[in-house]
Amino acid sequence: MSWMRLPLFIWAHYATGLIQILGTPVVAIALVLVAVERIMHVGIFDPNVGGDPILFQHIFWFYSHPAVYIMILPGMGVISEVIACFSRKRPFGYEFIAASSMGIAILGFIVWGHHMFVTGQSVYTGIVFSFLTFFVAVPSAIKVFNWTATMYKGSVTFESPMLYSFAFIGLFTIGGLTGLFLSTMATDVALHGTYFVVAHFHFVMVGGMVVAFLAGLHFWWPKICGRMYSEPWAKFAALLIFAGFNLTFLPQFVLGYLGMPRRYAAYPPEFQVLNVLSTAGASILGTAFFIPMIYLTYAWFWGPKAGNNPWQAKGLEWEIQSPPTTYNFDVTPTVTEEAYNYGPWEENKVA
Amino acid sequence: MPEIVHDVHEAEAEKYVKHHFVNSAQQMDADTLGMWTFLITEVLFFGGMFAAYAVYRDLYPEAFAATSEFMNVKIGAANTAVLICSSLTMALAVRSAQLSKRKALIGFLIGTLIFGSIFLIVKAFEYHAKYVEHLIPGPNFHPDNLAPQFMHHSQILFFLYFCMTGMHAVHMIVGVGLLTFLIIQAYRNIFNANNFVTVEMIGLYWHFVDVVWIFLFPLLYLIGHWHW
Repeated sequence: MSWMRLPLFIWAHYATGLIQILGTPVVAIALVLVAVERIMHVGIFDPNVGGDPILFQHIFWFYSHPAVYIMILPGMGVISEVIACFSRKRPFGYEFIAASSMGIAILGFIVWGHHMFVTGQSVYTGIVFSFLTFFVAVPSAIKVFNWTATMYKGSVTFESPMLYSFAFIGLFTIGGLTGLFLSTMATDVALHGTYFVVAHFHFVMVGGMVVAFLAGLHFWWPKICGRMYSEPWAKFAALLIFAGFNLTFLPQFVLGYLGMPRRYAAYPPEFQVLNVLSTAGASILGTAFFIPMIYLTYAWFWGPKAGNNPWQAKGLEWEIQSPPTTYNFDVTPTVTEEAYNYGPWEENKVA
Repeated sequence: MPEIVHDVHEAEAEKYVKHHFVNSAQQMDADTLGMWTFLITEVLFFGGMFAAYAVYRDLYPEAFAATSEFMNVKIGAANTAVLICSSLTMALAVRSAQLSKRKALIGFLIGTLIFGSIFLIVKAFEYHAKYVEHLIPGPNFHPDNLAPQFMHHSQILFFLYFCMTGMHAVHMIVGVGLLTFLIIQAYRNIFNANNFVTVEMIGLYWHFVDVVWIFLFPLLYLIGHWHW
């Protein structure tokens, strides 16, 4: 095994680990300061006693912006695995996908100010954060382009993990592109605190992360429990989740654009139709999330035996039995072929 | 002079390899990486308080300078010297472990423990003095001879003082506990030229805690004594 033979899922986790290690202590000290402030009644963040709430926002977002990358990066790793497997191809630009994970991890630490465009930081600070935020689009776009390029001329099949990956690419792209509207200061002043923001982060976090989680769950479920779930039900659930999700959150982009603010129960009558559509979508989405719980639980106990490698996938986890034994390998395995060595064996094999 | 002899005692060194490592070199690398990673998280943890300090020092420079007059510079300086000495004895302890000198190792570890304890005891007296002088932030904050316009902002510095030195003291207490553990292990003759990584890692931690104090001392004690 070498760095450039690591699965992209592992690369994504490496980047995630860096963020967790560097970000979490900062939110820890923010918590300590809040606790001591409450106990001793001295202003560090509370303006009533001479504190500065903007300072709290800075320290909070220094962790909490990278935290969204803690959520999405493993999801991106899953998508890289699933798309390579069901396209039967080595991921296009493997090195770039790996490097873009690290790029997102690093850039993620210098963009937190885009949460604070209208909360009292200076305009010049805002301009710098806006500029840096645009840069995050670069590694994210590299990933999306490389996933689609991986499928190009691949032997694509449509198993349920792959359906979730398709959903991920579409929803994450919309989520990412609407992020550009929000990182532009001029448009953010209008869109800040509206349903546009709600729709944006749900496209990234639910359309992105939760869907990627479901892709990974379906991909590795036969490995986790050794049994296969019902593929027709899985496909049905994937389609229903995709439909329900879009019906829930697409109207919210429009609502936000029209100026409906977040965090209010009431809204003017002209927003009624879009809100009803969104509620209907949420009902479909909520129901759809229950379906995998049922057939996956059923598969855990009564599903047909899956075998060690139901997808004919590459990677060390598929070499061992399902479910894996406590000590995965008797001896530490030596990897002698390239990562994602899909396709005709002899052609790609490294001596 | 006995040097550190890895190659000759290769087989000897492998005795100390834990089951999930391939060899002692890998174990050493993993331990060192883990410790440095932990220290980086510590830098970021303290970094939040240093950021708060920087913001308020910039906002209320006069109040901070006036408040700093209440700090006891002599005791602070003495404690700084004590900590620097403890770092020296810790470094010598690591060296002794690498050279398999058990008695010297125990001696230097006990020396470090004593210096660390002196620091903590002095710190306790310093906190008590602050309490007696009504310098604890909150409703009982009544410093003598402080300009009334600074009353509010002065408490912020004292708040930061207690947070930062308090968090530092917590790390010192943990360090004293680790040293006690090391002394017991050294007494049982666990450490030698093939097995000193524990001593070295706790040494790294100890030096880190010292370095934090090296920053805290001038930032908290000396700002009122420098006029420009």
